[in-house]
Amino acid sequence: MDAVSAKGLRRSFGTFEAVKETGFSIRPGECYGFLGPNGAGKSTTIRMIHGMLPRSGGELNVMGRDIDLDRPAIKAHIGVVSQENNLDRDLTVRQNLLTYARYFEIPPPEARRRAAELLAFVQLDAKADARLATLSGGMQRRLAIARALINNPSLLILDEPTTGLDPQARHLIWRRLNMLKRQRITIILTTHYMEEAEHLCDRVAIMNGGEILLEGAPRELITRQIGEEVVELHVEEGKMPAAIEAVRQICENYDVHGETLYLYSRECKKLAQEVMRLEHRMIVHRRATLEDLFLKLAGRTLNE
Amino acid sequence: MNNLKARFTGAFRFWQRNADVFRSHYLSSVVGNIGEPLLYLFGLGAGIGGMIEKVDGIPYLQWIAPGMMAAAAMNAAAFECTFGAYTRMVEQKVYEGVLATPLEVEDVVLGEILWGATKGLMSSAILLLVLSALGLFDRWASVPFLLIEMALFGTVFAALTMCVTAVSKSYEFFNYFFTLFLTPLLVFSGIWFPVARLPAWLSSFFLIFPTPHAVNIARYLFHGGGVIMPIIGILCLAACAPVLIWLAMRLVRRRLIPAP
Ligand SMILES: Nc1ncnc2c1ncn2[C@@H]1O[C@H](COP(=O)(O)OP(=O)(O)OP(=O)(O)O)[C@@H](O)[C@H]1O
Ligand SMILES: [Mg+2]
Repeated sequence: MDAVSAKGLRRSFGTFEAVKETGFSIRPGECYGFLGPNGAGKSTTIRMIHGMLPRSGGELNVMGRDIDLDRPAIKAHIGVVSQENNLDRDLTVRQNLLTYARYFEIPPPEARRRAAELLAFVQLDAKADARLATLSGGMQRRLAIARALINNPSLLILDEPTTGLDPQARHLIWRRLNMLKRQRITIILTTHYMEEAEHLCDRVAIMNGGEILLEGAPRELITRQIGEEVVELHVEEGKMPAAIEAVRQICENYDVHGETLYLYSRECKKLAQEVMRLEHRMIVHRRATLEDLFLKLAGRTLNE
Repeated sequence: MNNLKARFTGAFRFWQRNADVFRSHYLSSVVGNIGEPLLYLFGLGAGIGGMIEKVDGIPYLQWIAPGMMAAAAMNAAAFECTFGAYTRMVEQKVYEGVLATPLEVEDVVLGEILWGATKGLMSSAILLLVLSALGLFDRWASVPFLLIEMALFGTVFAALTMCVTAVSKSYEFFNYFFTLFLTPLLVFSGIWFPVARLPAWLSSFFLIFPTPHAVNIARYLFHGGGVIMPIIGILCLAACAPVLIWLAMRLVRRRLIPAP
């Protein structure tokens, strides 16, 4: 049984279609990412999955049941970290967890045990009795994750869990999410960091304008759309037309973003050597990433 | 049936959340609860009480005491379910967080209303203590009925203000609500003077609101007298409560969960 399966899923706000007839199925224990530019419909999609938004049409089963028919029962097995901070600012760090546990009818001794465990898990034990206002953005995000785990969910949903965090805080969250993956918790996340998606997600769906454009394992998608490697040419100002002219002789698959030329090829080594002969400020030869795929799509279809 | 039980437990959980927050700063709240009525009693007793000997054969301070109890319940419930609830719903997005748990919008709204009623009950109960201490109240047999009445009236008023909060666009809106709605209720509900002194159309018009009824019931429980208006009052409050609670649930759901 799929953890989540959607068929012809739609959602409109008035006459505006935020999510158009999308389908996907998410397997138990999988980490599935929704990517896409602002307004693509990522949050709308996952808010439907956790029952916050009713759908306009289509089918949506979460853990085998129709979410809109059996909401409280299904929600009992889901953990949610939403895009906007909605921690309870009137309560301390620990109280946030204990109060949340009460909403799930977790008995107090068990709740206290889990709260202590989770605070250690997200490295907030030292802040247990602190007021929320004294916590940094990264700490609040970690607390939100701990809170989402208080009911031992089998499905964890995270809407941009690391947006606005410094690299260190982000890596700490990644390590924690990887630990949860190893416990076979199904994870659904959205992110604007391609590195994050590549690092965490077994599969990603790239959305735009309410539709899923591409779906698959990150590496597979990259190889299929771009190849294994990329050569980047950082071109001096005003020399772009000349550079394009020169590059065209040796590679036809390229994109331009700002001052940079991206060359895609199956044989990048050879390509790189040839490019070296052209005189440009900087050349980088590296592995292709989701970011390349994203930029390539952006050049064509994603409207930013 | 099971479902209904889960709904009530959910509402109670949200009530508990508010109670926990309140417990961490209850002292300031209680000081206000005792201080404000004392000011009124002292000021009005010395000022107006000196000019007016008796109303309906009852000394002025004793006569206004039951109305003040209703006013205390009304104010406390209204504050909690306007500024308090709006902050939780809109500013802090507490509701949104809670909706990711098994609780539903209706549970949160019911919990919020019951909490508003609790605040109303606490305020009026504290006032009753103050009145008793000052020797302005000694009908002990009435105490349980008064408390039940204030709980019911608090519920009605909390539900009513919750409806206002559900459609409020900003805090500014509550300024209008308090000056244009609450103040007239405080003036024309028979708290400070008998409504019989008002033109009949005006005093009857105000009977569409819960406050004059609450005052009538409380005054009966304090001083006895005609029983018809208090009975009508009880029926009105009891009938309004479920309707207003239902309406508040509908309005808050409409606000938080955009319809498909
Ligand atoms: N409650 C709402 N009322 C009206 N329009 C909405 C509402 N919620 C979302 N939308 C619209 O639906 C579209 C998709 O929004 P959504 O929040 O799903 O985007 P997103 O992919 O999560 O974007 P971001 O990366 O900025 O978070 C946007 O155009 C947004 O304006
Ligand atoms: Mg979003």
